[in-house]
Amino acid sequence: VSGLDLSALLQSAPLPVGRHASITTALVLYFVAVAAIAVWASRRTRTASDFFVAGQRLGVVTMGVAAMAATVSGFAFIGGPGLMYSVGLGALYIVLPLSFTAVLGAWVLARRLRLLAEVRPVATIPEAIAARYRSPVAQGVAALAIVIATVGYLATNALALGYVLAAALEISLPSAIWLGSAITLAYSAAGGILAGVYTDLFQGLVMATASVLMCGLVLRLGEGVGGLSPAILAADPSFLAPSGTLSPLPALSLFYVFGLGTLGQPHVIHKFYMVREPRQLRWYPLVMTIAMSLTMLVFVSVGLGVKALVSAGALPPLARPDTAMPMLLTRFAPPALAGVVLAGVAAAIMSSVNSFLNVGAAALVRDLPNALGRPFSRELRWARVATVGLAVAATGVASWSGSAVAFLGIFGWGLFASTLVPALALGLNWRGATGAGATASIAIGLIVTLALETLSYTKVFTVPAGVTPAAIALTLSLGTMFAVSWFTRASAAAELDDDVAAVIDA
Amino acid sequence: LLGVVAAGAAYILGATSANGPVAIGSMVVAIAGTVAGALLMGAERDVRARRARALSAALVAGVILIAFGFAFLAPAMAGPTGVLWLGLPPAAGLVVYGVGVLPLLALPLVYAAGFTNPAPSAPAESPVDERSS
Repeated sequence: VSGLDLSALLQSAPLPVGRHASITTALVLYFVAVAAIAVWASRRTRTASDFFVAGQRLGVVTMGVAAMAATVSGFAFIGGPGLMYSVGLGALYIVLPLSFTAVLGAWVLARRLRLLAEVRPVATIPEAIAARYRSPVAQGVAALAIVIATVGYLATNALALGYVLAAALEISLPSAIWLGSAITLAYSAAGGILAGVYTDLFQGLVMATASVLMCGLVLRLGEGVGGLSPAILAADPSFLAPSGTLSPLPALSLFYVFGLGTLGQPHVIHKFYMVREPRQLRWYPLVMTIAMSLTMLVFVSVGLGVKALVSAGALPPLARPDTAMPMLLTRFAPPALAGVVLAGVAAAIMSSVNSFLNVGAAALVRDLPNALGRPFSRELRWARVATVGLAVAATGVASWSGSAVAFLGIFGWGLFASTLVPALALGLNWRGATGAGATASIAIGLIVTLALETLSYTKVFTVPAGVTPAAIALTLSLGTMFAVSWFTRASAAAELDDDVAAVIDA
Repeated sequence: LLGVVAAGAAYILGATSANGPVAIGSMVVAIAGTVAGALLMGAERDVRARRARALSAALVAGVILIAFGFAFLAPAMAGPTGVLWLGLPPAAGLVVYGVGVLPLLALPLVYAAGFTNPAPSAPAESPVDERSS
């Protein structure tokens, strides 16, 4: 394997876990708990501030765990272990950057965004871009990129949640897709991000618990980490090479995109607005790092464990890599654990969907109208309408579009990274960044990502050396930001308002 | 800027020489440069915060350069040795424990130690426009 297509990150096939009373019970209990939290939080959602930034009254633990839950989708539980089984340690280049991304986000964005919310009425990421550059055009282009990526993300996650519910409840896939979306939509539309973060907190705890339990099961089966490697090395030494079966350059490109790209994920970084006081951010990296580390144990351990079991002859070779988790659950885990893990998968998907619905609705209701100079009145009502519209559109795409849903899903992470990282990360830390540079970098990121991913998906053109298109797009958009800002440097000082300059210097 | 230029060079070299050592080396420099550059961006007045940022950047850039450099570019690390480092072959162990674990243990504490309580630099307004609620 020379490279890795990001479409490999999508859950796009049924889960063969079988029906069992314990699994159904665990899922029902999970949904009851989510519903109870959502009802409690929804009653406290009275304003647009509650809907978009949780009233700016979150503690750092709630915010950190919610950020983790929004970051981690069902991929960590199903697609990730399958990818690990398939390409060995090369899959780790998606999760290795976790060792520094929380601190990177905290140093580069967290304080700046939270302080910006002290001096400006910002609630969305495009609004931060507009405030920084005094540029409605940059805000509009950023919002457009968010809407495009959000619809793709939502459709793929609706499909993934459908597979989980179809497997656990033994209902048809279309019914499962609409059921899962309806449950998530109910609290997303009623309670906005306020309901979202408190359900995220619970969902994050379920995810971490499921991950730790699965890691424990693997270590018990393999008699520790040291017991797993010899069997794998005897059967397939390349699996434990530094980049597994991937070539080094594509593996390093994944590391680059998933490391820097975290600075452009709006569903995660807009949570920086939500903490009660900026000083609480001191412990954000610690909370986020612990939460992410525990939750991603499942990604590493299950792929490694199943490979070792297959290598030792204890399991037959997998027909499809993404059956690694279901295979382990059905062969070795007690049904109650399988139920907790499936609840964890559902939690991971729903927490991401909720956050995407919120940032997508904000882009439609706040950013695009404001960029066009026609702000909405009755914003809370329209935010709920937009949330319903986005969910219905994405669920419809997931139900009826066939393979197009996988095509839409590949745009998510890379599109956010290439469009938002330069404008935000450079803009909030460098006085020399200009509005023209930001607008150009967002546009280049959008165009290059859409073009390269489309050409790659349709196999018309593949980036040489197996490099992911998102890495090329991110590099080009960063380079564009530097170059255009340099050429338009005469306007840099004039575009920077005093209060925003004070945030940059704080 | 150095990191972005190095990344561009890595991809151009990668397109012409696949996974040659110069392309891989450029990409390693690109990653170390962009991440360290991002960590160092932004002017902070507080000396303690500046030191913490510099320490974080040095740690991340150091482990990336050393771990990836040895794992991919040092021939002695590439071959099978029979020795395992905490359950992994040496080259893989260097990457997993060096890049994946070491910063994870140290950086959040370095950040907390260097954190300064920022005060709003301008008169506070309503945090979110409530006009439409």
